[in-house]
Amino acid sequence: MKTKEKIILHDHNKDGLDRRGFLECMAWAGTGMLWTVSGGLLGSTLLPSRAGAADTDNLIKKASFSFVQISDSHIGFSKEGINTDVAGTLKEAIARINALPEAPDFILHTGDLTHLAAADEFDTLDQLLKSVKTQQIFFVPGEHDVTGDNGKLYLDGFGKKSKGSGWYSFDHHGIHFIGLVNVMDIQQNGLGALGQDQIAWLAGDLRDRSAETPIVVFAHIPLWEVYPQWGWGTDDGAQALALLKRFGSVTVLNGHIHQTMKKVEGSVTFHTAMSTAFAQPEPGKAPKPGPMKIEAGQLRAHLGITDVNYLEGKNALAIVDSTLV
Amino acid sequence: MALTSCAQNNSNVELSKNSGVPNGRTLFLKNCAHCHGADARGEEGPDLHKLDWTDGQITVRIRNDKSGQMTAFAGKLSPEEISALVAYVRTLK
Repeated sequence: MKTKEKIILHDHNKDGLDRRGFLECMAWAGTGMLWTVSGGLLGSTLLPSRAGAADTDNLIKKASFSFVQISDSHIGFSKEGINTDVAGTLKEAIARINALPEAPDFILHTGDLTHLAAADEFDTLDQLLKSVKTQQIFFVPGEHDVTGDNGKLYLDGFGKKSKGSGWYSFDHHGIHFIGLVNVMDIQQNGLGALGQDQIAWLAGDLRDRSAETPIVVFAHIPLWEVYPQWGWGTDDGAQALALLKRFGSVTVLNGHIHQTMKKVEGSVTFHTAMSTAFAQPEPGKAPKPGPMKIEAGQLRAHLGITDVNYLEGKNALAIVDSTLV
Repeated sequence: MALTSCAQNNSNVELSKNSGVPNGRTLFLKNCAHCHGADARGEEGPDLHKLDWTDGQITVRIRNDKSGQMTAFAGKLSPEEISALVAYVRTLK
């Protein structure tokens, strides 16, 4: 990454949710960014795109643990001029993970594992991910994973211990992780939705937790309104965010839009990850969303992984986005 | 056969709804919008407005896969649901 990431902390309305200057708050980058969480406060550092660079190494060495977010692997997708080898680019992403100085404790895959929710696509993904050096992989589905069967194949293979349509939570080193599903009931306006059952479950899941508990929420479609005109947001996401508002440190990790974006609103940091398969246009920069043709040789500058490091006692999450270049 | 006759009924979407089958628009949002767009104007998949196809051709395309570009919905969606989808696509002018 050559450009400095923009981090804008605005809360003009003192409500913890900044709507004004929304676009300013978005950082567009096809590069690497490392997040650190410390004492409920989130920090981030722009890092060289190559794992193993000195800054990254130092950050990872200081961290209590790290995990990696990957997203939108779209196994089964193939289109000339975009990407005809999504399994190959996923393998490259896995190689990047395996080259990290410390193996991540786990991987979060934020959805669209497959392109057509076919059994052989799920199987291919499963086989490829067996080579990742990590202890566990957590998933949430994307809308491509639940096509045609209401997510049955996905749930059978990747969501056995989940609740409802695939949501769940777990704790790790004092951080509470929450996987949400917002792809089962796409709204008339194209936005995702959580639904009242899941929101009620979330309320119960959070009810007895201390406000000091660092929270990491991950879901496929952004929980915030990135660009509603393209359906890039969650219709009832504000209800979930309202439940999270009392917590001192909340990190929301999403995929779906195939590009990195970061926004900070009060104690909530939103982050979207690159795809390992193909890029999509920036909001409003094309007539419509969808797989974007990339100049020959430039594809890997638009694909990547997100490495997240947590420093216990410092309450800092450090997030690093790295391209496959 | 049932597919074709059902799809030819202009009020198919409503009939499907009344018979307990999700209506075509709902099925479209759940199964098709991620490629064709919520407005069916096309994203990765093509614009579905003003299709110069017969109901039978649309049904076949929905039922069978298209070389990695579109999933086969036969076996995933019921004949009634596929009919409702065909009827919905027919409303796109």
